[in-house]
Amino acid sequence: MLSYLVRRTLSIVPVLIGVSLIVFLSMRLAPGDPARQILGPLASQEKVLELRSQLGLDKPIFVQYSIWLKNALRGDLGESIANHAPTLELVSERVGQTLELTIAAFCITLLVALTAGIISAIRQYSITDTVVTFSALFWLSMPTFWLGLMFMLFLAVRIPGLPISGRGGSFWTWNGLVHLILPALTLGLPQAGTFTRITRSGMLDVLLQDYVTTARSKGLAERVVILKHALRNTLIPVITMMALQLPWLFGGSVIVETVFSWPGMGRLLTTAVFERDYPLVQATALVYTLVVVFANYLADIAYSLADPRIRLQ
Amino acid sequence: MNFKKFLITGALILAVFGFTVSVSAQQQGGTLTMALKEKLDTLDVFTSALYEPLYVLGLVCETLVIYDENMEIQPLLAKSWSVSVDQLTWTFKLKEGINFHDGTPFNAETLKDYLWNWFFPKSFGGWEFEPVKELVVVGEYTLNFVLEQPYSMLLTYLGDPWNIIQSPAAYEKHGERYGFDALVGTGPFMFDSWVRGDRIILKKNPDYTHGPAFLSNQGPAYLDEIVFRIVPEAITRVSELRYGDVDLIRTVPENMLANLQEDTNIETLLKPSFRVVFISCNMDRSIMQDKRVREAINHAVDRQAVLNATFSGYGTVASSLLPPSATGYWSGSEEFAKSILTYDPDKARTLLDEAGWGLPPGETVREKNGQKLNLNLVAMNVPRYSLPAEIVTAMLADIGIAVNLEIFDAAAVNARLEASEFDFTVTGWSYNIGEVTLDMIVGSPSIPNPNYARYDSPAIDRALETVRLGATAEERVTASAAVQRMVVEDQIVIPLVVRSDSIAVKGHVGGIDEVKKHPWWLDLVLALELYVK
Repeated sequence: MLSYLVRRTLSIVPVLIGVSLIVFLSMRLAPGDPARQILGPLASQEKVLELRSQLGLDKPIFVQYSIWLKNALRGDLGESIANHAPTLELVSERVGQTLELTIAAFCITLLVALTAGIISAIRQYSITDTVVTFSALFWLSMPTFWLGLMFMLFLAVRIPGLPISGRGGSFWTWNGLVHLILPALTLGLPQAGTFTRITRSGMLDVLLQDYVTTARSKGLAERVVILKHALRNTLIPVITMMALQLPWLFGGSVIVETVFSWPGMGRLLTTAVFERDYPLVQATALVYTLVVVFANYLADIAYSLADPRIRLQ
Repeated sequence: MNFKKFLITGALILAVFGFTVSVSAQQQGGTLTMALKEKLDTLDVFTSALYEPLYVLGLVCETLVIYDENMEIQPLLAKSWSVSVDQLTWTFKLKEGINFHDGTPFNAETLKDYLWNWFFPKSFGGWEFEPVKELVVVGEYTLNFVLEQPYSMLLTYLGDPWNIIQSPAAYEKHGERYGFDALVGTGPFMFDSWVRGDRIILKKNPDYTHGPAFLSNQGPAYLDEIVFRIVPEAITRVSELRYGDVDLIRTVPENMLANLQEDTNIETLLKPSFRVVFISCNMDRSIMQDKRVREAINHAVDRQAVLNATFSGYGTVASSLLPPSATGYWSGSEEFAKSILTYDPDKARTLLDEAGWGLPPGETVREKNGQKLNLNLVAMNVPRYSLPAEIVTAMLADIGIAVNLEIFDAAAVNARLEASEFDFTVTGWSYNIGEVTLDMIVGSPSIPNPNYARYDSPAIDRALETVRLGATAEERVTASAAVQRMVVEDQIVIPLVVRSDSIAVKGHVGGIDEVKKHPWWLDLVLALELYVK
């Protein structure tokens, strides 16, 4: 197990370096000059060139990358060009807020998908099943930005006290929680649509298994058969897949944060891209990568604990 | 007076007096929340490249002089001014008893320190004061601007809302953190806090009493607090205004304006904008060097259709590179442009025929010596430029010009325009000081950015020199008119439309009638006149 852990941990390093290199190159190859973006159209060419030199943008691209990598290994991800502040400070200010949104959306996904999927499966081909299946298809087909605007127009406007946008403070306060409702629904419901379908088909498979038939033949109540025997076996793969979708939710927050003016990493990243704020894009992308890699890492470890054959492969 | 009359008179006096007291008491206090569309990079005017910080800066910091609604310059931090006979020394008497929010006294010494050591060398607008040779403190509240040559633009630039006066001590104290942790001016509101990406909070300056005489309230402000929330999505801003906790939004997207105007709980205010949308033809390209091709483009474009489609009809068709609301606008522009900036597709076709770009039978694109008339149009991915660009593309197709339209984000567009990788662009400019706009867009020293057209005209450059450094206002006005006339004639930069600007407020916000009287520059007006009913 230890050697597997070491191998798996070491495999993260090339991924991080690879992603950082790709992000670095793609930003540099995109047209646009951060110095001009910062200084604006009124600034003279001399001032623009001076700033380019100050930022080290006049050096060859691989020299720039090696400097960035060297600093990154020391924990210094550079200073945001547009915000005039350390990128780590900016990212750490926002990462918690995006995580907050992601976790709330994940809870909604979990709650809706499991409930709807199970009900739909045990009432297969009923009207409830048709409604749930159709609803799931509806939610997963909706573009996030459109869904957000519809929630805003149809829910926030009609329900007194439901905020339209912004963050109302800490997650643990009432104001903070109510501000989370619409963005979390917007982010969580399309995912819930997908997982409702997965839960339903998983549950249907399990219900056909011999041990379920055995349980029923033993005269157990249907409720016990479903909750004790079928549900447990359905949940394992579904929850694992959901956990693997957490990074997707984290990334999906980019649009939701813009629509709902949520001050998280997504908005930080989008504005940084438009401003050609290279260090900030680099730092934000690195954090996103870390989240994805870490989620996969945890899933792999969990699998290897559950199934030792994976370690041997 | 009998007893009955006495009672009636007394009751009337009490009613009137009581009503007055209750109205003014109602005006005091409260919080006003404004939504801003863009994130703020910094509140340091020396380093910010964005327009949005100005909405905050304009409430916290002030200029020496200020424009009133008639575009006349009025005192603000300066009490009065005079100019010597040789026009080389301007004497400014400053208002007394004013302190910066950090307690630093505002006087001739601190003003000199700020201007000489901070503003002139660091500000983007520092070049506007190049003719200032020396600042001389004559008395505690008297400062002389000694010039190298007569410079009548001095007062105009001192009234430019970008050229604010801030505490030199605060700059010294906060260093690079100025604009993030601190913003210190003399205005009616004081910087309180900034939660990055979310909100900025300003608190009332209770000691403020030196507001401009042309406003009904010279201070302190009625409001206790102003909160700026960052709401990037237009529809979210409008929804927040109608149903949420935002009280005021600025520059309402035109396609949502009509709805807001119908909403009885919302009051809207249309005001002149400084933004002109125009076509810039790249003079590096041989096709564009032929004036007949540029004229054909000009005549092929229906400006009213562009205005309707892009700005829902709000605004006006442009007749100059400057909007009528900017300083230096030539009042004869409209009359002059009437016969030049016209929509006449037949004339456009004739001009192309004359230029040798014929339309082969059965073809839709013109040709000359086997070369097709394909033009590359680059525009930014914001509706104010991308929509007109799409309309221009369709209109040019109608006269046989095939346009390859490329839409990018701001950084990519800047790079393409700067590198001359385009034939023409639909772009725009927004600046309240028209003389600066002329310098930037058509002056040859601004090639390639923002003079993307590579407009290199010695006649224009000479006139611009007079606009900049003319000794008298009359000289400058004449030169500015000449530049605007030449621009319309040359059709290298072809004006299309002038956008209108707007503000929308919730019904419970009072004072908007006072605001409507002063539409030119609103920040200080909003700060002093608005209240919560």
